[in-house]
Amino acid sequence: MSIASDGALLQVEGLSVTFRSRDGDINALRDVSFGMAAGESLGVVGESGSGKSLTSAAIMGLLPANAVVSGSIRFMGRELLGAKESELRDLRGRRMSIISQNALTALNPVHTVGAQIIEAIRVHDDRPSRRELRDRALALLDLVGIPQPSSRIDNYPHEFSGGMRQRALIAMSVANEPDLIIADEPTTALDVTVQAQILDVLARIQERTRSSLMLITHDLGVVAGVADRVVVMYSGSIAEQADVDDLFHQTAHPYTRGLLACLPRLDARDRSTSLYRIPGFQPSPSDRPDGCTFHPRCDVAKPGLCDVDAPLLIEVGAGHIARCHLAVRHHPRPDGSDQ
Amino acid sequence: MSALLEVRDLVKEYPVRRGLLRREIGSVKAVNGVSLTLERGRTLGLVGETGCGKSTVGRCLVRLVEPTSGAVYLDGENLTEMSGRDLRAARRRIQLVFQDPYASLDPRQSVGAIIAEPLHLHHLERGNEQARIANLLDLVGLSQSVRDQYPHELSGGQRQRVGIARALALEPEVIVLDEPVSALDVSIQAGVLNLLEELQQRLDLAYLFISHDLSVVRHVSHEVAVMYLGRIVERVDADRLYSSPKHPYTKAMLSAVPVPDPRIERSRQRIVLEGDLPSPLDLPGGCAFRSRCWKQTDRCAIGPSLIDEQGHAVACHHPELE
Repeated sequence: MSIASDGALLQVEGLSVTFRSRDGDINALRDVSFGMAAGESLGVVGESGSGKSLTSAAIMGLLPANAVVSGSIRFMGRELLGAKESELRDLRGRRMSIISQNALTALNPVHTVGAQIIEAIRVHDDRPSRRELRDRALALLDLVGIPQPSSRIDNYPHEFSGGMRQRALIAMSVANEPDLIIADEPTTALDVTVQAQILDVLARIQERTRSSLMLITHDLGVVAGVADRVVVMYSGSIAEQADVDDLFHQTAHPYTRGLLACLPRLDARDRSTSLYRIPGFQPSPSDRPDGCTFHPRCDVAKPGLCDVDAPLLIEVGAGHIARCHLAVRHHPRPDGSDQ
Repeated sequence: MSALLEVRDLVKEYPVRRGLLRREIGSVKAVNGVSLTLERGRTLGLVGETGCGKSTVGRCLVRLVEPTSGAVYLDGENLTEMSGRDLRAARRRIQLVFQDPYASLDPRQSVGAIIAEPLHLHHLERGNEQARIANLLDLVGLSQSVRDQYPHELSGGQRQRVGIARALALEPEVIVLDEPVSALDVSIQAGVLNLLEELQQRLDLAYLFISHDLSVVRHVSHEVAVMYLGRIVERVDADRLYSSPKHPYTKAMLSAVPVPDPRIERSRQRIVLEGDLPSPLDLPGGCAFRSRCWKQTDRCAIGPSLIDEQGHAVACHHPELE
């Protein structure tokens, strides 16, 4: 089941990714479906190995060659799975672009930052003059909050701090005003004050270009501040999907509940309470348990049900689905607030 | 009575060399006059961003890094002046747990051998070693079956528990925890934090908890010290730091930490700091934070000293009111 948004920009249906290996097939991503409307911010949350980055790689058409993909990814009305590489290349960077986690390795150390931004523009548009290209690069650096862009444009990446490199990378990603920006853990390696600057830049860009943002992160705090809707992934599947308020306040899946309960919080009252601990760890994709993949770690799992039958995604509220046998329907929010 | 651990005016300078002959052209003060005290059974959180010198402080305490000047007293005895047998004996009492459980365990040693190594080095528990290893595994919540396994066979959380067991082997009184949960997934992190708290209660351990994560520090600490470019800019008990920060830097940092609740997030006022951390090679004179501070005035050209008022110490000419 999926939630199709009206005027969907992106519609992912039954996306599965399998890696062939000597020890058999590894089903890294299983039946993932979700949609994104134009201008929307979607948070994709999960721990390492949940498949969140693989989902973005599949959308960008950047999976490794040994990956077997099935399902459907429709972007602006075009099917991306099975599309020609030339067609994808035309979309990448112009219509959709990705901001990756590691800004240090994503930039080329032997070219200036300005040259790399200009290259990002020229790949899709070779008409502008050198003067125009440079002006556009300067405007982009200004947009992402680099102080005195004209004195910085000819710097090399090593002359930039970590936060500035991430901003330069964002400038390259948004150079052609893409309709979809995928940000894969864009602030994970950064300090919290720098993270605030980067999230601020992303919000400003989104406001200006009306692009959609898919924010992939393990940080539920970042999601709470940025996303309109959230997809929670666990062991290669979607565990829960909801509007941001429902996800945090009408949480339906025990895994999501566990993730929220195990977070130390800045707004906690004191240090006396111990944190909830989700026992065990996420299974490897080659060795998933029968039934619900979360049942060995779940504190409400029912023997005879959860360890036998794999649950389907069930609708628990408007636009709110959870892959759990025990999830119950919550009441709609008549006034748009909770309960 | 003196504190269990007392750090006084700790300074660590690194020479800066340039050119073919590696001539010394100056120095960087990674730690610039840090003083701390830590009592038995308590946790002092040391927070700050990349490059503020917090890890260097931790390393100076166990003399993995030799401080340039200053003193570290353990029960009144100056660790920085010790050598030979005295230092060896003192080191048993203060241990370090590293951030990266993937890099800090020898991949060629079994878990049992890793935990037993400190015992060998200090010639302890001879003849009784196996029982002691079993006991340590129990203490950190690992099953006895991991004893013969190698680090690559363990998960991140299990590895960090091995690191903690190794630190506990010598029955220390102080443990310096350098970003002990930063490399772990959140569901695993909670288990390690709970374990540290249990161990503290059972063994009356004192922790210096070094972290960049303010939510984690909030959860574990009794008292918190905030570092910026080598200095402590604010120090107070954890509740007061989070409810009424006085230093503009602390205030900005706290406002930037996301809270996992969309309603709270929508209503929060975030202070977004301008610019980047200044280079430690080229620090502004006076208050090191003034180049990014919205409250800075001419007075800030003279560096403020850390002044303690009713247990709330702050180094700022224009502190927020409590």
